[in-house]
Amino acid sequence: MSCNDVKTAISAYADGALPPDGEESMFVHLGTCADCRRFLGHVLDTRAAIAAMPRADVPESLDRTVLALKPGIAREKTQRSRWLADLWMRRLSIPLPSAAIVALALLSITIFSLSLLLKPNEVPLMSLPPVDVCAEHPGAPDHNE
Amino acid sequence: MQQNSDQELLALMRGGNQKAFAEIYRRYRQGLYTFCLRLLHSPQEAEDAVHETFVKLASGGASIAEPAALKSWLYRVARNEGLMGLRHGRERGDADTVWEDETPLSLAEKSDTQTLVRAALDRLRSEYREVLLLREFEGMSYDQITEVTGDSPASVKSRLFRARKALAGVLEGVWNEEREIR
Repeated sequence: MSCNDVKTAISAYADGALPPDGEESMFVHLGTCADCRRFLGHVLDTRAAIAAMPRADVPESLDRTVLALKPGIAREKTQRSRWLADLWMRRLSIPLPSAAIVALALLSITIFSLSLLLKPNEVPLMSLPPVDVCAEHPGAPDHNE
Repeated sequence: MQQNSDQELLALMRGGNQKAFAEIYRRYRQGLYTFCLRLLHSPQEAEDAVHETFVKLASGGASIAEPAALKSWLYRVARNEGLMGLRHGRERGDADTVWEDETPLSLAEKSDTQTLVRAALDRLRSEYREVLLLREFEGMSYDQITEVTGDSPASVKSRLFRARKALAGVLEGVWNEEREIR
């Protein structure tokens, strides 16, 4: 058995997938080969380290959107609600000077609009009452006759 | 609901039972999310993959041939959803290497063993990383891994061996140091 065969066997052994006769040959080889013994140690150490890795915290947004699903619900509908939820939760990153310029522009437009609306002497033409010209000038010819 | 088997929960869920669906989610949410996060390296992509998995389950999970295989089905859907957004490791680079990122680990900078193991794992190509995670982290058998990845048992066995051999080489210094401390 070559070292590479034994290392393949070690990997299967770590998974509990090595048949008994393969196990026996592997241990015979390990008795005489320090390199393969080291490999077995590294495989078992790595395995233990991966198994001990902490599990990640599940984001609340995932819990919320999944638990809002109803068994049997149409796929299109859930995608739309997810899209809306994503849009609602979206945060925009805008540089402060740009945000200040936009805010200033909006403020200027608001002030200008308000100043137009609130001019005291200006009355919109549409709001004037209709004038009866015949009543004000009795001698004038009446074109309706 | 916590006492029910996966098969029972799946049958109840298919009848429109919301609590059965919520229990299946509670049972697998953390494992699935962690697996996707380690596989994809992106919290947003991991979240999307898990969400899409449960959307498919909510719509009946029609492709679950055997209710006993619910766990494998969930991991397979999550994996496929996740990898759809990621250019799979098999499609790029030299197929002979197990590494996605061949930058050597800086053993001196990171003294924490857990951090080093995770960094080494993250450098593996996704097809090697996924089998190691499913085997060592989720404790799946070769048959279950086969159901998740769609590969043959021989291919799973071979990838596990290559991944372990590569990690043993990279982490040799770490394990030797640990033995000296012990």
